[in-house]
Amino acid sequence: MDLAPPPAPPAPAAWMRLANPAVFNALADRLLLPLAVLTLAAFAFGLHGAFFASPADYQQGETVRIMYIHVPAAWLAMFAYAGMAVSALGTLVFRHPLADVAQKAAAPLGAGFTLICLLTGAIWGRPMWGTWWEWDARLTSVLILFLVYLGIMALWRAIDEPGRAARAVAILTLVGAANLPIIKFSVDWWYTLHQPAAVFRIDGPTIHPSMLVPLLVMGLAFLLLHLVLMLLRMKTELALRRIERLQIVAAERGGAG
Amino acid sequence: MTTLRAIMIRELRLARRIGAGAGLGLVFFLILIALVPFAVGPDQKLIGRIAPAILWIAALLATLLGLDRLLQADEDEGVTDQLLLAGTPLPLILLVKALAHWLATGLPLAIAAPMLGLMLAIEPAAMLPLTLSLLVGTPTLTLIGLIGAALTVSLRRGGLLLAILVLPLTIPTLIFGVTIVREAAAGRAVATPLMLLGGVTLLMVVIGPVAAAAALRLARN
Amino acid sequence: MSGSHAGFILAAYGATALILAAMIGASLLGWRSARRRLAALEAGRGPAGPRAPDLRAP
Repeated sequence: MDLAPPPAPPAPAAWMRLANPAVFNALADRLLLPLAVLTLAAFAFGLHGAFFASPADYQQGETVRIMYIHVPAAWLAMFAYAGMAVSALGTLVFRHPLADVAQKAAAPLGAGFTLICLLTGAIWGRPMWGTWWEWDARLTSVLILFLVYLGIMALWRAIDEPGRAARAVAILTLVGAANLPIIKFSVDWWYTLHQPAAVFRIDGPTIHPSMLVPLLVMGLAFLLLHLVLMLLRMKTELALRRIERLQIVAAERGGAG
Repeated sequence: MTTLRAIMIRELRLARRIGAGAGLGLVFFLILIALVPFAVGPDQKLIGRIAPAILWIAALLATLLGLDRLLQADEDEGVTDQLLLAGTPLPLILLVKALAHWLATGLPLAIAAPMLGLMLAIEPAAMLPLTLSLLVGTPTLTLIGLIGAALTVSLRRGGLLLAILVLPLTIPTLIFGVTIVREAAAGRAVATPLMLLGGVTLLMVVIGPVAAAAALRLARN
Repeated sequence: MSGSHAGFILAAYGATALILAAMIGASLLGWRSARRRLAALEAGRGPAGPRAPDLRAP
C-alpha cells in the first residue's frame, strides 16, 4: 500500500526471518524427525495408559476409554482454530507470508480433529444416552465448529489466487473467532433452558489422577501430531507456491523466446 | 451525509424496481408459512409450538435470498469503485446498504409478524415479543450476511457458499429470537433473551460493516 | 459392565485411526507430489505437472 519503501529494519526479528521460505524449510527439516518420534512415543505411552493403566469408570464402565481420544480431539479442534486466528492476524496485520501458509495448512487438520470429536462423541453417546446423536450443548457446539471449518475450507477452494484467498479466509476466520464464543454461550444457554437436569458427561468435572495422566499424554500426542502435520503441510504449500512461480517464469520465457 | 442519503435512496429505489421490495418479501413469507401445514399436518397445536421457529427460519431464508447480489451488482457495474472514491468511509456506506436491505426484508417481516403469527396459532401474549424479537434480531442477519456477501463478491456462483459461510454465525440470533417468543408464550419474562439479542445485534453493527469493508478492499488489491 | 461395550470402544478408536490416517496420508502424499514436481521443474524441462505452462503464455 505504501509507496515509500520501508526503512531498513536494524535486525529482523526471528519470526520475520522465517518469512524466508528457505529459513523456514531448514528449520522444519530439523524439527520434523524428532517431533515425529516424540509423537509416536506419546501415542504409545498414552494408548497404554488409556487401555491398561487406567481404571474403568464406576458409572460409565469401559466406555470411558473413548474419552482419551474424544477430549484431546476437542482440545485440538479449538487449538487449531486459535492457531488459524493468530495466523489470520499475521496475514492481515503483518502481511507475513508464512501466516497465509499456516492458515491454509491448519484448516483441514482442524476439521479432521473436529470430526474425530464428533464421531467419538456419537459413538460414546450410543451406550450412554441410548442414541447416536443427542442435541447436547457441547456436541452441538462442536458440530457448529465443524461447519465453520467446512465453510473456511470451501472459501479456500473458491478463490483461485492464493494471496486473495488468504486475506478473505483471514477475515472469515477472525469474524468466526469473534462469533464462536457467542455461539458457544448461546448454545449452552439454549441447552440449560431446555434441559436443566445435569446429564452425564463424557468428561466429568472431577477426574481421577489415574485418568488424568493418560488424558494429558494423549492430548500431548494429538498436539505433537498436529505440529508435525502442520510443518509438513506448510512445506508442501511453500513448494506448491514455488512451483507456481517457476511455471509462470517458464511460461513467460517460453512466450518471449 | 448527503452521500449516505443518496446511497440510501438509490438502494431503496433499486429494491422497489427489481421487485425485491417489501411487497414481494411478504409474499415469500406467506408462501413459506402456507407450506408449513402441508409439511407437518394441519395440527394447530403442533404448528403453534413450532411457529416461532418457522418465522425465524423464514427470516433467515429471506435474508439470504438477495445477499449474493447485494454487493456483486455494484461490483459488476463499477459502482463500488465510485463508492471507494467517494471519500465517505466504506464501513458507513456498507452500513447504509445493509440498512436498505433490512428495510426490504427484516422490517416487513417484523411488521407482518402478528398477522402471520395468528395464522400460525401463536399465543396472543407472544405477539408483541415476536415483533420485538424480529425487529431487534433481523438486522444481525443482514449484517452477518453483509460480511458473507463481501467475501464472495468476486465469485460467480457464490450463493451457496455464502449461505454456508453465513448460516452458522446466525445461530445465537436464532436461539435468542426463538426463545423470546417461547418464553413470552409461556408467560415468563423475556428481558434476558431480549437483551442478549440486542447485544449480539450491537456487536454485529460494529463488526459487520468493518469486516465487510475490509473484505471488499482486500478483494481488489 | 466390562466388555459389554467393547464394540463401541473399538468403533471409536477405529474411526479415529481412520481419520488420523487420512490426515497423515493426505499430508504425506501432498508433500511427495509437490516435492517431485518441484524437483522436476528445478532440474530444467521436467514434467511440468498437471498444468501445462504454455497455456499461461501471454
